[in-house]
Amino acid sequence: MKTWRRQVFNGLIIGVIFIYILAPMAMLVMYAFAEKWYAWHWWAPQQLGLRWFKDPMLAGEIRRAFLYSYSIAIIVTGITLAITFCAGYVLGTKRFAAQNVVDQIANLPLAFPAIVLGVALLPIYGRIGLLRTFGGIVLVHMVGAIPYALRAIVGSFRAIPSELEEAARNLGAGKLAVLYRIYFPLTRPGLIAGAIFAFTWSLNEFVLTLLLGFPTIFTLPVNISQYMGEYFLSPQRAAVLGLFLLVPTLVLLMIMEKYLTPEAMAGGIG
Amino acid sequence: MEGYRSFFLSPGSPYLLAFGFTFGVTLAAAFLAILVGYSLALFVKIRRPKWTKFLIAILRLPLFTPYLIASFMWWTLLYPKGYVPMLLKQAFGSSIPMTNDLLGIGIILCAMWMKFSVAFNIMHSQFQMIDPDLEAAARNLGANTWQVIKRVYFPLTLYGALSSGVIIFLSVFIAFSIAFVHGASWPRFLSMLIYRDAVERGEWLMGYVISVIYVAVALLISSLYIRILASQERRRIA
Repeated sequence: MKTWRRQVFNGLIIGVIFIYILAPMAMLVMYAFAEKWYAWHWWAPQQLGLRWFKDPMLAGEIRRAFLYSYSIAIIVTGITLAITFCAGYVLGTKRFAAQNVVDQIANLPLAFPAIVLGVALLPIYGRIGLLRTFGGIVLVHMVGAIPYALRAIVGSFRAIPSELEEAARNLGAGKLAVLYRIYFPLTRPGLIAGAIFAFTWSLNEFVLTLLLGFPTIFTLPVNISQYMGEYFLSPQRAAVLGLFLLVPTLVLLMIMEKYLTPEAMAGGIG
Repeated sequence: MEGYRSFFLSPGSPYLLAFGFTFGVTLAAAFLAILVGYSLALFVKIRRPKWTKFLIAILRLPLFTPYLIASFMWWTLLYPKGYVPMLLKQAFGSSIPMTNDLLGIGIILCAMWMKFSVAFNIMHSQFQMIDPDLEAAARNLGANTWQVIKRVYFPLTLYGALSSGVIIFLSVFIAFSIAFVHGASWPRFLSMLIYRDAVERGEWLMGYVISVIYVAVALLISSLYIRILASQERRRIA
């Protein structure tokens, strides 16, 4: 009897969790596929279909937003990894004065409101000609992506015993050979986690692109915001675009979950 | 100092009001997120339900959901023709505004959904680190489940709960997308107030003043987080 009651209680709690987590996502899917949904029939759409996916207004926008979002995210990830791999080597393997200060400064953007960064950069970008340029957006996305990637990569470098580098050097390996043959393979999990963070951070970044890139640089989040009351309200179009952003992000992060530690995930990716 | 005078000393300062609103709403969201995340981690630890791995994967979904999309998903649930107000209307005959409202209900509910997962993750790993011998010893001495929670689990996970609370508070406090979708027209969330003053109105002085205060508070909270982590580490070593 007690086991039966326990199982019912467990099932009830799990059911509530599932509804709580999945209900908002179900709404997104329902809106994306709702062809007709009248107010008097508020509990469910009258007709489901792919009308909004074929919407001519969205067709061009999706292509453009996709191109911008993914090309920016790929470039940001590549450059961020190159920078953080070198920085991670220094921060994770060397001891020097002011190391703590450098560590704290590297983490500073995590506590820095994006809107403040955007407002601060707006006049500077205007003056040096980076406003509403592809390069300008890549640069500002890196400011946000680097601390997340660095945290993951420095941790990987710190886990490698220093004796490995010493042994390789004693056997005549140069600095580049040590980086390529020792550190690169051993820090791969950290690099993968860093790449995921940099990529998803850039892909989902909204406010900095809105302030510094819009209307020339039109990424998926900026495009979605235009249908959420900024220009006019169209939940169905916003939901379709939302799915294009949500599904790849979830798939990528679920596949790579084993590389993501709780500490690294604490900040989320929004 | 004119901008700072306006912020702190102008009669019925709208900026102080916005600051108080932001702080209060963030505090409520962080508290609720911790409460839900902690309770769920405790549930998984004590009950060890079937399909724990699958349950944990589902519990992590909000963590992977982009802020803007999560805000929009909650908007579809909370706007006047969304399921929540309509169900409340059916049940009680009327409903209160749940998004762009004076109390920040939309911001709280959305932020709570997005952040309880952070608390769950941190608390789940904290519970995994507790030495099982401690619980066994307490049980041998006659402690029931509630006593084990109160005397063993809670003291050992307090720092974890505090650090996750601070990190959640910080991430909601500096968030833009949630306030962009659910933010009330008045009082405004601080991030939206900066956006309005600097970008929409061109009042750069106030935009920068609010930004400086915003960053100062955010850094203060981060230093608190670092201190809690340091105490946690000292305690762990001891």
